[in-house]
Amino acid sequence: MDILSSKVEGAFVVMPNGRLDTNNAPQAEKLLVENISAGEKRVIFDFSKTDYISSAGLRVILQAAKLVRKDGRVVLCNANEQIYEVLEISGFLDMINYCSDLKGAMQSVSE
Amino acid sequence: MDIRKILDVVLPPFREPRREKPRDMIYIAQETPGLYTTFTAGVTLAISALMLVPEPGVGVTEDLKPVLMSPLMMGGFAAIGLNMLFRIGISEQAEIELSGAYAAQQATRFLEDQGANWGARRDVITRAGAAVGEALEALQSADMVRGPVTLRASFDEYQLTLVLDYPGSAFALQAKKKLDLSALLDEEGDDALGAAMSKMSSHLIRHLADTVKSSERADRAELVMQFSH
Repeated sequence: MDILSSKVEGAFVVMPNGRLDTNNAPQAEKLLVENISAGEKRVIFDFSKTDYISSAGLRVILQAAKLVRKDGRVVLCNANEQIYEVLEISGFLDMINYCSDLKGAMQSVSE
Repeated sequence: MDIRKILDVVLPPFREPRREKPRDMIYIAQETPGLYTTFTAGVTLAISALMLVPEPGVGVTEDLKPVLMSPLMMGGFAAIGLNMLFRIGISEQAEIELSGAYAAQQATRFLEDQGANWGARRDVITRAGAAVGEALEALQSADMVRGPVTLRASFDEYQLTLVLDYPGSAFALQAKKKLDLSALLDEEGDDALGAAMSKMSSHLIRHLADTVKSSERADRAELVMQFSH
């Protein structure tokens, strides 16, 4: 399974396993659209098991942020150095909250 | 026996971490740029200094005295010898043919293996892997590649150069400017999102690599990315 997910204290936590790129971005997008449509409005991307993210992966995050923009929130956490750098230079950290761990992300997404 | 591995054991106490960042900050072999250069220069100076000791050439034939009694000559020989030993300034090269849906993973593994062999810094290899992965993904999704892609890597202690050589058309590099994505969140539909994300690959590659060049000749194209080391 490339994309792991779980529900933790009212938040939908998505945990890409290995890489989030063009090969598994459609799977991640489908998972998110289904769950957001079903009422999940607080979404956390936990990158603790993710080694690499490409622009296709960034698109998935942006799509989720767009879907919950009116009544929800997306928070990112646990990025390794490479992913953090990609999030930074792509401008994602300017518009989406980032926390260094899941605990902080849980608090941030509930605010 | 690999001299660099011996030095990795001997020299770590003298190393300093470059900077604190999120997890996975591990170097493949060499942490401090120019470590071997510094070592070579130090040993050279030490040998030169030794030659200043009175009467080091006792028992040496008259023919060899001008050489062995000269600190400058001995220092020069030591520098040449040690440079040959540690291969300082010598560019290492390797290449791999990539194809299929998992070309980016192939490239990443190739760079990690070669980086370990060459003693490249892990942060540079990771950034290079991200840039190559992004480029391959962008080229394949835009149907700009019409066959296998060859990744050529060359490395010396100052620079890592990667060349993606492939049959097809040149990668379209956008001007280096910050993307404003926040407005996209309020846009209806996915057209604006798709258009913005199509520029993202070029944006990422330009920021991950220190220099990027894209060119096309006949039916082949090249994307050259250079990373300071």
